[in-house]
Amino acid sequence: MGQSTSEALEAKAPEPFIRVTDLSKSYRAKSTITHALDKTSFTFRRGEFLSVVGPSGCGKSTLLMLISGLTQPTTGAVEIEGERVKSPISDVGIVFQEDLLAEWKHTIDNITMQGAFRKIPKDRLRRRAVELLDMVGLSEFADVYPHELSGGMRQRASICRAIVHEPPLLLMDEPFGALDAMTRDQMALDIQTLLEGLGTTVLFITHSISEAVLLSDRVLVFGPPPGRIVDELVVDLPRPRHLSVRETPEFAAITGRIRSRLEDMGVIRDRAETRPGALYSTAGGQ
Amino acid sequence: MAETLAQGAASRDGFPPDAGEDPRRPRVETIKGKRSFRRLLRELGLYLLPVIALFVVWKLAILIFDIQRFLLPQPEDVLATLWESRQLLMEESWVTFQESLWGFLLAVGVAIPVAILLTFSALAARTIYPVLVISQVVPKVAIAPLLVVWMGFGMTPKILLAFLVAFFPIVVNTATGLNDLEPKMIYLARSMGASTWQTFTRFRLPSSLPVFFAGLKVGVTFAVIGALVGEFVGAGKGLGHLTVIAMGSLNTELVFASIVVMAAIGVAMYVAIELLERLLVPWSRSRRLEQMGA
Repeated sequence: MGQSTSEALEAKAPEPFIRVTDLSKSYRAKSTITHALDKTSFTFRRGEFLSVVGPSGCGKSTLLMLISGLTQPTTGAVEIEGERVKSPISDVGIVFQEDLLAEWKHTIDNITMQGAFRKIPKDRLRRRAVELLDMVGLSEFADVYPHELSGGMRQRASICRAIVHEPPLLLMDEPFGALDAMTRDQMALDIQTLLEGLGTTVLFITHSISEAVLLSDRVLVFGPPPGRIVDELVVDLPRPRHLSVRETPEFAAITGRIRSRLEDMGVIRDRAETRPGALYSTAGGQ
Repeated sequence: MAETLAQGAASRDGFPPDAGEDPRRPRVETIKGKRSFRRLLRELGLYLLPVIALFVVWKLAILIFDIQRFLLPQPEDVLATLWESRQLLMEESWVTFQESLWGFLLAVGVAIPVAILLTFSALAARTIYPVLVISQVVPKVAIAPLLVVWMGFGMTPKILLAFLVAFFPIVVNTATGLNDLEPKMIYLARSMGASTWQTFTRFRLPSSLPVFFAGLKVGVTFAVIGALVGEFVGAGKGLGHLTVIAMGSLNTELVFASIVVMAAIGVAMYVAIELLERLLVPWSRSRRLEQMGA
């Protein structure tokens, strides 16, 4: 099913794959209303790797929930292939910050679990799962329970699960957020390898400016809450990108622009540039 | 920074796993195979050690404080009584065992649907929880005579008492277990196309098993106590009844012998649940061992 849909989608390539129009989302608690996302509009091309960078609470995660149809917007709409998203879409892979592996299933079964409710032939899925595990160096760990895996290995397995059925759309919500810096670097490289040649459209949500630039075709910068797009940058560095690209002036120019944009918005203040705790700040906080 | 890059570059080709994540699986296997027998021996030894220590202290206490036989019999006399009265003890313990087992099974059978109700209905949670807590804090010893008056000297009031005592820990643990699922897991399941029912059976249920079994283990030992309380208060059969009779004739050896058998029933039922857990929840078992550093 996943494949036939993606073939159908390829036929109408020129149209934007996803169109987000005037999307707002407010959450109502007992006595307060939180505006998580405010009239956001943008489009994705098919096969585009799009990152969203912004401070905590700027509605990045809300955006992912809305695009996947797991929650419904307060106003506005998400259209995939011209069709409005009204209920959870299933032609998708999702990676959250938590790996969310099922502790009671072996690594490989965690990955093939993706097909359990979609009626994909089990042997085909399994073959693909073995391939993916091999690509991320987890072959030896196919038949162990997740508690025997390290944090980075678990998240790698989780990414394999999200793409094993070759969905046209991959949504990732700070997938490396819980990992240490070196593992994050490795994960960034692994993501590129895994997605090579698949033509998957990716929405990648992150706190890390350099990770966003390293991986993306385009970066959307979100301002302080309620979330709005404050800048948009095309990253036309050649692919495949190695970690060393981060030392090039071109790379630095892009990350520099994002950083200064966030500084302008009062999201980042100079006294503590990358400490996540310091990212909280109100709009007029300067 | 330079080191980070070098590391990243070094492990790029063909993606050998990161440092500290080398393919150690075969090694893990062999260690497991070799260890299990030795571990079993060690575990047995660890179980026997306190029993032996208890015997020694027991003997010493009698010697040092010159305790009368009808107050505290010699351990070997208790062992002798265990052997001589084995027929009687077997008969009585069979009754106690049945009462405990039925009470326990009844508790499990009622606790599971109640726990599911508690998980899925906020209204049910609000109305049922107070009843549960009250049923737990009312001392069972106090209502045991009432139950006997109402239901006679047969097995029914004991089964009911076993049920009442075992029910609470099982229902609370089952409900906790069912709520153990990471909320985002439900989103993930829905994005995979799982229905509400599939989310329940394929995600919520399996993830609840470790905590569920923890509840069963507490519950099963409680069930034995419940049945015995019932027998103490009024019965024609059972180990509790036997103890009361033996106490009345100051047959302390028999009292001690039946206490030993009571404990054995509790241990046996506990072990049975633990074996079942190893069988059904191997992933939880191995995780626990790892945490213990075994």
